[in-house]
Amino acid sequence: MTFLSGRNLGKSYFTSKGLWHKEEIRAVYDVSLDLDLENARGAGSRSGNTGLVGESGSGKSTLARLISRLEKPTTGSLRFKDEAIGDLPEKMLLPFRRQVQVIFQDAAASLNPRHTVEKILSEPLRNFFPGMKRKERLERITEIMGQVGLSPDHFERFPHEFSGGQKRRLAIARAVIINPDLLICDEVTSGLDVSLQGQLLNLFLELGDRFGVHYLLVSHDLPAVRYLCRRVLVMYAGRIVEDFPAAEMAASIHPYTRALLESEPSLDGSFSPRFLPGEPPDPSAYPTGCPFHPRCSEKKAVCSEQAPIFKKVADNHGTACHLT
Amino acid sequence: MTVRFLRDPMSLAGLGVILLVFVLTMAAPLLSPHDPLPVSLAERLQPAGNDYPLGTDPLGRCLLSRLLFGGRMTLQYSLSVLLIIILIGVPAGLAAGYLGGIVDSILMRMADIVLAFPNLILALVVTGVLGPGLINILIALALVSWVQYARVVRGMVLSLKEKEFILAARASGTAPGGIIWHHLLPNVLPPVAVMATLNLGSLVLSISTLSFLGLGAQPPLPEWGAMINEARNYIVTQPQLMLYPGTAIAVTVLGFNLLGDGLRDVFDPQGFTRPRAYGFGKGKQPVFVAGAKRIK
Repeated sequence: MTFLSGRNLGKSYFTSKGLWHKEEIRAVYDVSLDLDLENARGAGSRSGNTGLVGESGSGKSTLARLISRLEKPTTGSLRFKDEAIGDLPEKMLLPFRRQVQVIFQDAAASLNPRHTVEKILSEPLRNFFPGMKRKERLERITEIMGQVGLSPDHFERFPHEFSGGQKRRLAIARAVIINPDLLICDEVTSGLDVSLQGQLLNLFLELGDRFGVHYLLVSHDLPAVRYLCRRVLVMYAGRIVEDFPAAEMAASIHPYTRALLESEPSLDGSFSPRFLPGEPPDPSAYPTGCPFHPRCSEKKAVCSEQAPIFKKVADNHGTACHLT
Repeated sequence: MTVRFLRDPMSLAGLGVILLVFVLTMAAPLLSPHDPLPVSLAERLQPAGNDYPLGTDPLGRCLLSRLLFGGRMTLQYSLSVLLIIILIGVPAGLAAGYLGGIVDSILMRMADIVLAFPNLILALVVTGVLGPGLINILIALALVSWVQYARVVRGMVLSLKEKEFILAARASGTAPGGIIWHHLLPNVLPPVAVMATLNLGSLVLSISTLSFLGLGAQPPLPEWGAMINEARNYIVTQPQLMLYPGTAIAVTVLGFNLLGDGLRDVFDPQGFTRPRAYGFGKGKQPVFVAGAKRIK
């Protein structure tokens, strides 16, 4: 029984061009993935953590919203513990939401400016534990605030009274207060200074060890992904192009993954970036065949004609490339 | 926030005027020297004096008493219309904005139809169909004014519902009803309060206008607009008959507008005061947000 699995997931947005003509923008296209947390249990910290990387516009945030069911997939199926949840109405999703929580990129925007900390942190408790009394809720709130490093006597404050880092901790507290199994983190480290990023990642690790929370880290921050995750998924043009263990970055096969890894600066002075020519494709008109072929340095004739199928090359390594 | 409101002389003046008008008109039964209704032709068109502080009208009724009771009528009906249009407009806007789809289309097409006509003309037509009377102009005004609230609220909801805190509330398991009640409504109400205050002035004006045209308060009931209508024939010989209710309307509308402007500044999220064209307060320079570069 897989914790969360998507088959051929797709999300399209439609913009109207003229009166009758509609243009389809495929943000996510034919993505299949499994997040298996059962096997990860007891296999040491970080073992169930997955990183989702790709450049801006590659569809990683959309994919995160699909598998957190904040958006409905237009195609494909999404299963949570063998139950199809892709089309469920909001109130049937409670058991799913109880286990899968989300943290957003902009922590400040994810907190209602007119709610106090108590109200913000009570919200999930009220919804998932309707029988809880106010006193019990306050105890739990005090406890979780201490665990994420906030002063527990601040529960009467409003979000604007906190610093940026504290707001992130508050958003994390809201997500972990109900002890979820999976925490989907959408670009949580972006826009923060490096020491704050480090603090947050360590907080994630600590919470993971203590409560058994697993993470899906959506990021374009490769060091953060490497630090927190065991498995890395690479997205390009709405598709997952490679799935490989974070420890074996050197073994990556897909030319896009390698270009992504080579574009990362390093501290030892050996940094010689290799820039990819061209631009990411227009999501309303993907190229035929492999979407990466116009920018690929190793393309063959077949690449522009036939879309590559995702293949396993090793037990924990798969890619969608004609070169394998 | 409150301090900013209290420091602004214009908002304070507005608040003062409105409070005064409210106290005077709501206490009309206690304050007025005479019964506003009985006709006494022997005492018609008396000058202002001890018996009648503002004199009497062509039917010998005390002008001051009619002014106080008339204001009570005008304010009561303006507030009732306001309450009705907020109770219709805000939920309609919330539903249209949050649910979208067919609900949104139906509500907004209805709003478009109403907005295609000038407000007062449409109210005139509705009262024409329903017949004259204060209850009917109340219905007519409510029918044509709820759309502004629905539109504004819908617009705010459309931008609010894309905010991440709404998504976060969904992720926290809050049902759509809870999202509307706990997350959308509290963020929508402050601008609605400002709009309502500014709107009250124009409602007072609309009710008086319709009564002036003979569609609202029916004689012998006192109402400011109706009083102006009754004074029409004496505009040259007895101009004070028209001046008193006219001034009352003007002062009340001005008071609501000043108060509304003050409230708008208080709720302004940018947090700096704009210098006003009619402001006479000293040192009312715009205060720039900290960190903004100063141009030399």
